Amino acid sequence: MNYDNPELLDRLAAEYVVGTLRAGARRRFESMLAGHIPLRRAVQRWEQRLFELSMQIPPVQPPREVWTSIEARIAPSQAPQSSKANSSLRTWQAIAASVAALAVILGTLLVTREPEVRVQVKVEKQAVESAHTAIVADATAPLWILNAYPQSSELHVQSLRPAALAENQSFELWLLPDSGAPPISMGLLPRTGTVVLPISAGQLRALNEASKIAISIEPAGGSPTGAPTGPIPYTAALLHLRGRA
Amino acid sequence: MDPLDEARTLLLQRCASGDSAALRTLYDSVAPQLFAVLLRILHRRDLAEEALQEVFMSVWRNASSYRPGRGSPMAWLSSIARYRALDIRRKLQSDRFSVEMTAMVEDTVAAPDTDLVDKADVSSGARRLEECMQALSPQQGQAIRLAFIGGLTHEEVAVRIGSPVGTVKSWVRRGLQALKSCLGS
Repeated sequence: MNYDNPELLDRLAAEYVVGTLRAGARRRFESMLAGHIPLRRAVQRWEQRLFELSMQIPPVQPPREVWTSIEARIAPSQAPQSSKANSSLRTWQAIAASVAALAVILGTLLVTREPEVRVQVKVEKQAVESAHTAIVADATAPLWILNAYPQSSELHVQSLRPAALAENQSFELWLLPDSGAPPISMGLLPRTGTVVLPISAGQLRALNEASKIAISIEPAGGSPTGAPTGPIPYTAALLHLRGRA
Repeated sequence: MDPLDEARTLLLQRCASGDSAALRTLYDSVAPQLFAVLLRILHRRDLAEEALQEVFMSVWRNASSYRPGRGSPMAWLSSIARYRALDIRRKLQSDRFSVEMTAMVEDTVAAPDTDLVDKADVSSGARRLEECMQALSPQQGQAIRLAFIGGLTHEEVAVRIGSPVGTVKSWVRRGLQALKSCLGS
């Protein structure tokens, strides 16, 4: 088959992505892919064109065992967890234990989680500029995305789906310092849409020294005490792209 | 860049550097959608669970090959899941499980989601694709959905909608070309 004919090549790529190439043709096509850059690009363009079709399917929560198996298989040769991190996890668990069932489940998951390996990664700067990120999800899908941009001292928070909240309540975002120090408020989260929150110098330092975030339900306008006062329905890992100071 | 794409790109980059917490966050964020994609093609929870595990092992090993400029993280992730499911499905078919499979395609999505175009929380890419899908002939749209979402072969699509295989092939081919020009890329 002539793989230099761009039109034919694109048609084959489309049929490959849709899945209608017959078994033999599919295998031949796949063996071509590695060494044929135009073919690979054509496949990537078709994947990008069509993938939203399968995003329309309602999500289904997989059983917990799936992650447990994955975790066991990636069991890395990672540095042992420091006692400092352990104590912060214990502190965190103490908070989690007192709140909703979802938070308890997440807390348990956090304990079984492997310690983070802090490796400096090279980033394609034009593609990604934020240095800290977190995705807050409930059992089926993401609710908020947080991207922190230390250079401009901005925290961008986008709500993907409105989470349940009474009229006279607010969601408040907290950093949970690894040291076990009290949670640090990062501001109120939107129920819908996007907000840009300023990051103070103190918060910026705290961002570098936390690997977890929590979201609490507070009276409208936020916690009156400066510490979480209501239930904590959501927690998430805070990921650091460029390692930490 | 879409914030969710940006976050997922960061997570993939962290996975590439061996951060299992990033894989965990990515898993929490995308596993339910990928599991649904696998179930639609495989129709059996045991197969879909095993496939989901394989998909994330593959993501873990190959995260460094993801290139942000070549497509969104979700396009990359869902393609890994779909190809995995298609491989399993075709393998089962060649092992003569096809009777079972054909019997189970009945509940596969065929109808277009007409509400989708109006939903506020859908990405602009999804809305655009849906508009272009609506512009196809109903048969073209149905054949493409059955193949892409349900993982059906030309032959299975033909059986499913009661048309000759040759006709189905040309619906798929022409539908895809029409989509390409509608999407303008």
